[in-house]
Amino acid sequence: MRSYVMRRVLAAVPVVVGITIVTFALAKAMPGDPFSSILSPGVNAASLLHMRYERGLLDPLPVQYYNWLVQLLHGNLGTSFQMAAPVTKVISQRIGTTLSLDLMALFIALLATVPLGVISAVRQYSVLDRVLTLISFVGIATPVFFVGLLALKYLALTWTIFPPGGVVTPGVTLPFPQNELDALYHLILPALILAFAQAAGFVRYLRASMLEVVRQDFIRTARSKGLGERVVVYKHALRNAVIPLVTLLGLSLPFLFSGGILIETVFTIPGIAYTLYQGVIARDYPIILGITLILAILTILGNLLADVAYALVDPRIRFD
Amino acid sequence: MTIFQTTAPSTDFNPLIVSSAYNTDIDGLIYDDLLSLNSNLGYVPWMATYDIGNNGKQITFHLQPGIRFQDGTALTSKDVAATFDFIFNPDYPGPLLSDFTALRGGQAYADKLGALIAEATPPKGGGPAQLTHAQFEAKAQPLYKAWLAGGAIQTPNPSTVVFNLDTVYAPILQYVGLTGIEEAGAIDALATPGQVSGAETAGFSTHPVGTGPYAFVKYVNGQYTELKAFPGYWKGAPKVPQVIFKVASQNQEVGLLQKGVVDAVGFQSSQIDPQDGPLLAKVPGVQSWSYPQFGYQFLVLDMLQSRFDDVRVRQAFEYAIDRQGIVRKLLDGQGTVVNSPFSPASWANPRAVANMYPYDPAKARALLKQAGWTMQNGVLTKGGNTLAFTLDYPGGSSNPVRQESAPLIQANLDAVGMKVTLQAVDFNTLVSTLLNKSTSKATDYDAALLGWTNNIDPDVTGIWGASDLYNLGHWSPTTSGSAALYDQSQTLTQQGAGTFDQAQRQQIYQQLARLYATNLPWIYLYSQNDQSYADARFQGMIKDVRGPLFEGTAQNWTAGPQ
Repeated sequence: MRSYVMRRVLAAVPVVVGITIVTFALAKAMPGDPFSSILSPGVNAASLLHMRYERGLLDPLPVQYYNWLVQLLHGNLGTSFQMAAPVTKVISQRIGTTLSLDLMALFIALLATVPLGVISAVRQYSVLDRVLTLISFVGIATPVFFVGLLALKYLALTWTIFPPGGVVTPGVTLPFPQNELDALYHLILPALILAFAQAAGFVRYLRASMLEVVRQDFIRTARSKGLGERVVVYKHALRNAVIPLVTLLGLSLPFLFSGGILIETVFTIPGIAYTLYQGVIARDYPIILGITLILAILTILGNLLADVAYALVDPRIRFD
Repeated sequence: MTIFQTTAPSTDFNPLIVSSAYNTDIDGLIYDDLLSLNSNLGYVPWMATYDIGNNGKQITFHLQPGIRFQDGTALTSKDVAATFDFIFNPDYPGPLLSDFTALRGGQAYADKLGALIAEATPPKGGGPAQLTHAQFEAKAQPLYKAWLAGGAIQTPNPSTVVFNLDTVYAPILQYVGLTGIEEAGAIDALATPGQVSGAETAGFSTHPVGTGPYAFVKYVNGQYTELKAFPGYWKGAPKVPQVIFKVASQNQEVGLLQKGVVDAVGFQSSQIDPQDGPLLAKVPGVQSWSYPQFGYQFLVLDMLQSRFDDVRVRQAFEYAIDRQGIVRKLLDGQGTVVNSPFSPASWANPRAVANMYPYDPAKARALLKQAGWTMQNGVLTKGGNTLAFTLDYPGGSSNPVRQESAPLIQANLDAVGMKVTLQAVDFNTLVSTLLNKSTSKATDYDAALLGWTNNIDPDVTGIWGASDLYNLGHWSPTTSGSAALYDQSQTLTQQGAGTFDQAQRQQIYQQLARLYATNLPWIYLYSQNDQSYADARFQGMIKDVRGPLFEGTAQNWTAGPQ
């Protein structure tokens, strides 16, 4: 097991380097640079040249990439052009927000998926199943920003159950526990919305997988042994049906980040996904590269965790 | 008072680095400038009175007594000099140097610095640059020292600062007079040689200190900026104790104002979505006001293409496009049609050209016919040329009104026989295509919609000179129709900047406006009004083109009972 994980981690290194090369090439292939959108009567070509020179943008592309890589080996991701702050600082300030939002959403999604998926399968074609199916399809088909805007309008502004966006209450300084509770309170609504979009898909997968499993011989055997329906469904069937869901979880990280861009925009959450999007718009190369690097590492880690989790949920799988 | 911002500012609030317009808005409350503006954008004394001597080549500022920075330090002429010296420092990371090259030795210094940068840049063909960055530094610093020694900015005593110019250049009043003054000590800490990123990230820039009515408290990343009243403000303590700039997405502006989460919407750069206007106006207990802005929208034609270098064709565009209709339909009447390059609010804008091109498709057709264009296969044709072309405009989240105007313009032009293909392009991509134009290639683009934000000073240097960066339509002796006409446009531009006398400048700019309105180096469209909304219990905001966050006005804000 340990050597398997080590091998996977080592194999990930060239993948990550490859990703940064591709990202760098793509970012540079976009027309323009951080200063090309300045349309101001006070700025002339000489000033622009000076600004580009000071930031190393006049060097040949391979040199720029090499410089970035050397910086990276020194633990430095460069300085954001747009935010005028070190990229490591920008990321460390923001990744926590995104991760807490995403993990919270994932947790809520799983909490909803397991019972709903199971009930849907066990009571196939019942009214409940049909209603759940309908809701799932609505969840899959509706863009998160739309649900987000509706939720903001009704849940935060019409009935003030939740705060209207942001991650802190502006203009007040709160002591230790209140401050954290305040942040949690701000994240619940966006997390619920992300979770809804995600659970909608998960429920369908779990239902399909459950339906397949409950028709297997060993389930019939379990029933004929006289085991209670509860034990049959939740112990014997679910344990087998949940395996595809584990794969799905590992792959859901990129979804969380992409859905996160929209949610973070609508709810004014200064997270990593929104920052990446802004970085792309502003051609902020250090931000684009830095965040892509972190996301690549996280995605690879997510897949690795999913593979390891296989071994935990399915005793037939061994890594040697 | 909580003010809505549509976009988060950057962490760098230093006004000399100009990282984002949303920082500039907040800086308006933190910093005060040497001069101020009246409501039609004329210069008036503020932290200093000024007089002009040496035949217009010397501006002397006399600082008002009793001005203090928010940390308690008294303002002296040293602070003023340090602020502007920093812009010339080779390590200065901002874009402002070109504004100040009229100062004594400024242009020569900028040229030498440019030559050094050229040497330090790797050649296009490959291979290393002639100078390493360290060598560049070693050569640039003595240049800077020499410029300082030239005495462009002098401080004969703590309350007097003198700016010496090489040439008479009136717009320098804007650059010197309307830039936030920083503390000399803070600037020295920024200007460490060889540390660009140091300057960008220094604590001072993230915690700005000025002489304005509000002091910086904190900026919570992407969320809000908190300011508190500065009781020692030289014009009297502000009456509203706290100002918060809260960031939220544009689509929340109505809801947040309704709920009283924010008290003000549509302040300065955080312009409202015009579609929200009627909803905002209906919010109970809210006052609103509307005023012209500095900028305007235009359509640029690539005049290197022979089909667009005939002035009659360009005039036909003005008659054919229903600009009044765009203002009425898309802006709810909150805007004006423009025919000249000057802001409708500026003293330089001549009323005479205001109604030059009414919507008149028949007139457009007549002009096109006169210019030799005839309908063939459903499109205007002349020789091998047709008036079928692509109109690019910035898509995505960029200016929604402009995006909505594109199909209207397409239909208007279609009605006079032009075939327009619309193409939405990412803003940065479009601008870099237009700016990286090679002056010889006619095929880079056909036509594009863009907006232009004027300087406060009406000077138009740098826009329509043949080799100017922003000469997007290629206005030149050959494309303008006659070399004499082009020369006249350049002479008037120079004369306008070449005197400090506002009455004389006004006359020059009226001639220039008429010249450009007639010959159309680009097709002027419309200027959108800004609209601001605030809870009626807040009073005292200025309600004209300068905008409610203009420097040295927030101390007059008052808050009634909630």
